[in-house]
Amino acid sequence: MVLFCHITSQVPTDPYQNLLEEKGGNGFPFLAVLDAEGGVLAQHDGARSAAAFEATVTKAQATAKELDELRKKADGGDEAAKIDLLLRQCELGHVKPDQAKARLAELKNVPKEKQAKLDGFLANGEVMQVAQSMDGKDPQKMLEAGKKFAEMRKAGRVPTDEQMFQVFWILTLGYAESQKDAALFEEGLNALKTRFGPHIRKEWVEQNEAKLKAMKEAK
Amino acid sequence: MIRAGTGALVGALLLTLSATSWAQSMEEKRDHKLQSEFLKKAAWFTDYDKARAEAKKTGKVIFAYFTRSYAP
Repeated sequence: MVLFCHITSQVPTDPYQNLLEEKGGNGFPFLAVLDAEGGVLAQHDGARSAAAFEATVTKAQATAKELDELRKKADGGDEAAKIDLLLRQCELGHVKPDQAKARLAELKNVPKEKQAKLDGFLANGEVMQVAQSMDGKDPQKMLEAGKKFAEMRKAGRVPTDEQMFQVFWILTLGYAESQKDAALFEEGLNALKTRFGPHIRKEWVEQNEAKLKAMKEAK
Repeated sequence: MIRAGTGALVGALLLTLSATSWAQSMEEKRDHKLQSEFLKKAAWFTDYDKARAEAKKTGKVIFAYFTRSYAP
């Protein structure tokens, strides 16, 4: 393997100062195994021992081999391999949402469950892009985001990633409330309760159940 | 008016100087980090482009260790 040490220096002229964040790190030290393009094959989150590092590298090498084999089959025209390659690359975060969307449009006969997974990834990416474009907690931008997410929901595109799922439904709730759309509000509230259950603060649930009740009574 | 103008100039100069000395301090810290003992014990790349080029050439994966120099 190639050993690479990246130093975040905060020297303005040093390149790749956001590399840690790009590779999924949020603190120091952070260890990951990358492919030659810089795509993350594995993050190390175990013990800091030679044996544990070796296990992470072995896992990453297996992933690299899997991707290589899929790539070869896909290049040879194997449609199933093209689908599996895209799926795997989405799982690993190697493909941007726009690129994934373009490639998905070219795929044929995608099995239903794989289509659903790919749609989920695309939705994750869309929600992430909207979230990143929002400036703090600007109420107007939050409403606009909620409206976009309500449209995505109508089209059956709901994110699968836990964080994006939360962002998606919380902003949709805000939009639903502004539109006095009790049905959409109820759907969002139930979706969050089902997914996160006992991890949601009781007060937040009670507050929003009261809002829903008020919306229904106002009809 | 002259005093205000001079004050603004001094203020701007102080800001420039402190920004310059901060940048120099960050560079010194980075250079100090690059002298770390562990970097001398094996063939570590500290250049991302060169690490990727080497991985491409050899067909190997990259073991990436992310650290910082601007703070302990």
